[in-house]
Amino acid sequence: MEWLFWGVLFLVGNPLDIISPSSGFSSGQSQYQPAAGEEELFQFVKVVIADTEDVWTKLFSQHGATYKEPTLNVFNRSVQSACGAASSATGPFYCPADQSAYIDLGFYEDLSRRFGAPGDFAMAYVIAHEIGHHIQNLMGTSAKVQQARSRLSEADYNKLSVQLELQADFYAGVWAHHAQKMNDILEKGDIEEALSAASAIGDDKIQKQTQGYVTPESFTHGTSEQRVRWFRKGFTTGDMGQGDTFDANSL
Amino acid sequence: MKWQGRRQSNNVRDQRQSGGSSGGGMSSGMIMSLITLFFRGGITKTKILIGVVVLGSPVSGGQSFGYH
Repeated sequence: MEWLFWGVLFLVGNPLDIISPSSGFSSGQSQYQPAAGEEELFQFVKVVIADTEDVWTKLFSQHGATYKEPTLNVFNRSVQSACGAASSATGPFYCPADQSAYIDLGFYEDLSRRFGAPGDFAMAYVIAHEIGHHIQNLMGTSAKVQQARSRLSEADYNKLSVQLELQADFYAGVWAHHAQKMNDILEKGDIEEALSAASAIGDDKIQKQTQGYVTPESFTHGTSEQRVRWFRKGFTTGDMGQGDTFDANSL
Repeated sequence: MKWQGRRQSNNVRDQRQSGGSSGGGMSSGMIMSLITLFFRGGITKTKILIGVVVLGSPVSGGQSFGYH
């Protein structure tokens, strides 16, 4: 009898999925009570996503393409995506399988306290970076990278990952450029907040903080300097054509 | 960023959850009961194999994780 129980559990699915709180609005889930200020942050996030929709719809249209809008899932504690279960500790991420970005609003505090990059536009940059991954998904770039993954060593794949991530930073900059032109979104200090965030989450800086030394072969997102430079390039030019990090002479 | 009073996207899904065990999650008591049940009668090679297969299977159902 005991074995029947475990057999059923095994066939039903991974027990970790059961242990993790399920996504969405499953029956029995009580109403979430947002903390003070969180609702305002939630609305801010919705405006940022609306701005990305405005910009990317226009840019895709200019190239004769249709922009398929992604979903942004705001969660706390844990969430189930088509790419697997994630917790707040995972940090913001984009899942190509469900064309959705995921973010815990608590990351806003993390940016300020843990990474020393406060400000609303730091958060906007993070969201725009995740939407940058959506652009890569729509353009087939991430699929190509995934296909190459099986043929590459870990070190070589890491180099490819850095190119992918820096391009997402570039797209975040392109978004900021066009959002400013279209909707006049920027206030004094906003770009500095984005640059500060880009710098704070560079692989070299994080590795120095967490392990005290740097191992460049394990970089997956690029150095602080690279992340700042590619965001800035996207913001300055606003030109999608200048964001080919895979063919750049120097990253 | 100037954002007050501006258009908000409809493509933002609120998946925030209340604290404690809710939705489809299990309580720690339930998990402990399952573990106790599993180990009742001792540890056998078959149980170890099941443990490795079940816990070792990808949380994502085989898909790799997304991009940060």
